[in-house]
Parts: sequence; C-alpha cells; structure tokens
Amino acid sequence: MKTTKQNRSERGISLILSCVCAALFIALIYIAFHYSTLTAGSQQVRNAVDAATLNVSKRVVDLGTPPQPIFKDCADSSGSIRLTNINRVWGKAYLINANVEAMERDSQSTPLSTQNADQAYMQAQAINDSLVQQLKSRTILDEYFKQLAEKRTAGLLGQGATVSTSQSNSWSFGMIDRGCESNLSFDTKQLPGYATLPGVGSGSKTYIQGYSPVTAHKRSFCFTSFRPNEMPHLISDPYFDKNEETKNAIANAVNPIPNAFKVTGVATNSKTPLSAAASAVANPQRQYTLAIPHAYVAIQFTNRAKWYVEGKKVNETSYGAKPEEQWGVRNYPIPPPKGGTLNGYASLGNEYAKANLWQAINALPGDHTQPLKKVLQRIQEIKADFSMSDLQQILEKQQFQNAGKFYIYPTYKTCDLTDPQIKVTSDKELNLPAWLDPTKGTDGLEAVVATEEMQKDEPNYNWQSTKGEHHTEVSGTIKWAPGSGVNTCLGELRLDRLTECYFSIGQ
Amino acid sequence: MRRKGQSLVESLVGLMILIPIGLAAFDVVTMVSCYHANEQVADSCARAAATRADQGAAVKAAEDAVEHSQIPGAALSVGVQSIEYNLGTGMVTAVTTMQIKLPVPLPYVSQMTIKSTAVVPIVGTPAPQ
Repeated sequence: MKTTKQNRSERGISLILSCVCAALFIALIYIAFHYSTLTAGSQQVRNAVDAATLNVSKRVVDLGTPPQPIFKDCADSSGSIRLTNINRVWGKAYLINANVEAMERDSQSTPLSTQNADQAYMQAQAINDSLVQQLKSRTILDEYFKQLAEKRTAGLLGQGATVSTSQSNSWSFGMIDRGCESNLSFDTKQLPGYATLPGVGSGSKTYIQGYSPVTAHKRSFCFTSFRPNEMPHLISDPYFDKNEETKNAIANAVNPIPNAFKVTGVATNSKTPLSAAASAVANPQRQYTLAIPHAYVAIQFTNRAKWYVEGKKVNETSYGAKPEEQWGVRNYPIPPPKGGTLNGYASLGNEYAKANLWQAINALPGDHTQPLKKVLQRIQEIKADFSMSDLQQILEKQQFQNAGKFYIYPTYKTCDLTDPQIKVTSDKELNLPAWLDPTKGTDGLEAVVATEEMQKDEPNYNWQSTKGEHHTEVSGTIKWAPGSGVNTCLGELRLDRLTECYFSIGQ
Repeated sequence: MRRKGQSLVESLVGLMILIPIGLAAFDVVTMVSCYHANEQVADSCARAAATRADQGAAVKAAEDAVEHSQIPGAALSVGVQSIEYNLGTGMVTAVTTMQIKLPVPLPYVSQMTIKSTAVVPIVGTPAPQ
C-alpha cells in the first residue's frame, strides 16, 4: 500500500521539474534579452544625443546679429555677424584701438580719436553680447537639438522612442582649445607700432590665439578659437568640463563667445528612462585675415611759393601740380638812386613734370622710406600681404594729372569683402567707392616724419626784370596724420613743397 | 520497470520543451547582437559621409567606413543600401543592410536581413560666406 502511494506521488515529477526548469530558463532568456536590448537601446540613445548635439554645434553658425555701424564691413554676404565672422569684428576693433594707442604714445591722438576707439570697442562688445545671448538661448538650442533628435529613434527602447533635451539639466557652454588658433590670421607687419599679438602658426599662416585676451588702448580683446582644418565634432565630457565657462572662466575676457556646447538628452516614449550627455565643439570652417575692410589712406600735395626781395618776404602764392610760370613780384618799387620797378617770376611745379605719383613723391632728394612705411603699414591693415613693391607699382601706374589729393583704397569682388585689390584714385577722377567719404579726414594730429633736402635752382627756377642776383630754394616737408580707421580714414600723408624765390635789386 | 520508463518519457518531454527554447535563444541573441552591430555600422557610415562635401564623396566615405567596420561572425555581408546627402536639410541619412545566418535555422528561414538607418548632420561643408 505504501509503495503504491509513493509510486503515485513520484509520478510526473520529472515533467514538473522540466516545466519548472523551462520556466526558469525562459525567465533567464527574457532577462538576458531585455538586458541586451537595454544595452543596445542605451547605445541608440547615446548615438542620438551625440548626433543631435553635433547638429547644435553645426547649426549655431547660422545664428546672427546685425552689425553696428562701424562693423558693417565685417558682415557676411547676408549682412550679419555670426560665429563665423565675430573674430573679424574683434580684429577690426583691435586694430582701431591699437592705432589709437600708438597715436597716443606718439602724441598724435585727439579727443576724437580716443572717443572713436572707445566707440569701436563698445560696438564690438554689443555685437558680441547679442551673439552670446543667441548662442545661449535654450529655446534655439533645444530646437536645433530636436531638429535631428526627432529623426533618430531608439527603437529598441519601445516604439516611437526618441530623445529630447533633459528639462532638469540646462545647456552648458565651454571655451575649448584655449591658446589655439582662432580663424583670424595676421601678419605682424600689419600692426601699428608698439602693438603685439600672440600668434599660433598653422601651415603658412599665423593665427591670433583664441581665448587668450590681448590688450590695446587699455581694453581687452578676446578672440574665439576655431582651429583650421577642423569640422564641428564631438569632444569628451571631461575635456569639456575642464573648459566649462563657470568652472574655468577666462581672465580679462568680458562675456566671451563659447565654442562648445554640452547637453543631457533623455529617451522619451520609452519604457525605460535612459539618458546620455554629449559635448560638441563648433567650427565654421572659414578663415579670415585681420583687416579693416573699408578704409583708405590719402596722399596730399600742397605747393607753396614764397617770394623775397632783398631777403624780405613780399608775397606768398600756391602752385599746382604741373609746371607753370608765376609772377610773384610785380612792380616792386626800386628805391633811388636806381629807381624803377622790379618784376620777378618763377617757373614752378617742375617737380611734377611728366611725373607719376611715385616720382612725384620722390621728386626731391631725401629719405622717403619712413613716410612710405607709414603708408604701407596702414594699407596692410586693409590687405595684409601688400608689400612696398606693390605700393611702388600702383603709385607708378597713377598719373599725376594735376591732382592735389590721392586716395589709396580697396575694391572687392566678394560680398564678404575678403579679396581686397588696392587701387589709387585722384580727387580729379571722382570714381571713389560709395563708402569712401573724402570729407571725413583723419582723427589724428599731423607730425613731420621726414624732410626733403633743399635744392638750389632746381627743379624750379626764377628770373627778374632787372639785373641782379636771383635764385630759388626748393624744399619739402612730409607730414603724417594717422587715423584710427573708424571713419574709414587710416591716415593722410601730406607733402608740403616749398619753393622760395629770392630776388635782389642789384647795384 | 514501468517507473523507469515513465521518468524517461517525462525527461524526453521536458527536453522537447527546453531544447527548442534554448536553440531559439541562440537565434534571438544573434539577431539582437547583429541588429546592434548594424546600427553601429549605419552610424559610422553616416558620420563618415557627413564629413564630405558632396554626394559622391559621401557614398565613397560610407563604403570605406563599412569596409573598416567590425562585423559579428554571424553576419554574411554588410553593405550600404543608400546614402542621402541633403544639403537642404543639412543632414545625411545612411541606410545599411546586414545579412545574417541564423545559428539555428528556423523552418524555411535560415537567413535574415537587418536594416538600420542613421541620420547625422553634415559637418563637411563650411558656414555660409
């Protein structure tokens, strides 16, 4: 009886055990399956957040702000200042302030030039701040994030699972690649005296260091790092955190432009709450050269003749930039016993006979290197690679044509004013570009930079109606009036030519 | 004697339940693993294509990325099905397909094709002038 009962209770035990094992086995498989889908889904979320953050770093270059009046020539083809060209704005503001600082040190500044430098800085800062405001706008950044995130599903986490920015974590901003290249190259020759810029060599160019503030005219200028030959790309979170703006602020920089963005994305419509963080750095992939695009340098000639009889000045006239005869002494009474009158005349303007502009500048002996260097440095603020031989070439091509004033200015074919071609035009030709207002002169004080050696009886000479000693002394003074560049004038070179005509009554 | 025979039958019935489950688990693990791998391949392709400046270069970059991808042993082949390089939207969409051989063939199904899509922003073009 007992055996029969035992047999009955053991009947089917293997089947039960198999079912229990199967259930456990199925449970294990279910857990393993979910674990693997969760792992893969987590990777999907990470990939989606990476792609969406990368999209933000790519799209932020679309954000723009209208330029302040001084910086209209730094705008892009659509007339805006963006992440792409913000360094151009700061570059121009730096040059203006460096010009004024040099003017102050040389005692050639004026209250107007100082005011202009301050205005340029304030306008650059206003553009900067407006751009920063947009770059840090959560609404805009979320929109850029969403633009891509909604195209990436995390299918393994459930149907329709996507990612969105976390509401609990805000965007973080960083200044990456400190001390590396900005997207603004320069040449030390461009800088006015006393100014220095920290540069980083890359290829054949030297770029201004990003996030390494420089000072000019007691103001701090901070350029944004955008390394050449780099695209917008993802960066590691520890690298971002090390350069995050609140954790590691840049000394002496006022509201610097961030170039890196970090955000946490969370899976939405998912059964499992998953999140991932990603950091990406922006790069507009465009390089510019330090310049004041709309600017000019003027060269002016003033010619005077002073007339003397027996060492006494009797008249002063001006003469043009072509040979002419003038009667500067008319009917000068000759005292008794000789009596009668003296008429004296002179052949003037011979220094400009058959001259082109280069010859006219060098018409009298003397060292013209220094004044021409001043002109060249200012032209290099417009076109960095402009050389002295280029200057000589364009001045030699320019006919004198009895003009008094010449303008050296750039013309451009590109909308963003990045391909300057330097031209010279005289005030007689009247084909100046619309932006060049010749009535706005320099904002600096004039100073003598060179003197020309006195020439006796050449190239101008004189005669008198009566017998007696007569001769001319031709000399020149070259003056340079620097300009800050705010009102487009970077400086004016003035060649003051003086012909002194001496006459004598004779015995 | 009857008892022994009964246990054997019960064990056989149990194994008939457990073995298919175990074998199916192999297939499921392979499919999930290959799906995950193909997702990574699609992402690599899209990222490589996104660094190029035009459609032709993008396709070539994607194909190169596939060649350099690590694919699981169960994958018979992996390839780029399509690359949509859209400068209008600023995004590149890569679709990759992976043909896999199931370790335990199901009736009438011994191979499967997995398709994955990845979208990333185009980063190879400079900002507007």
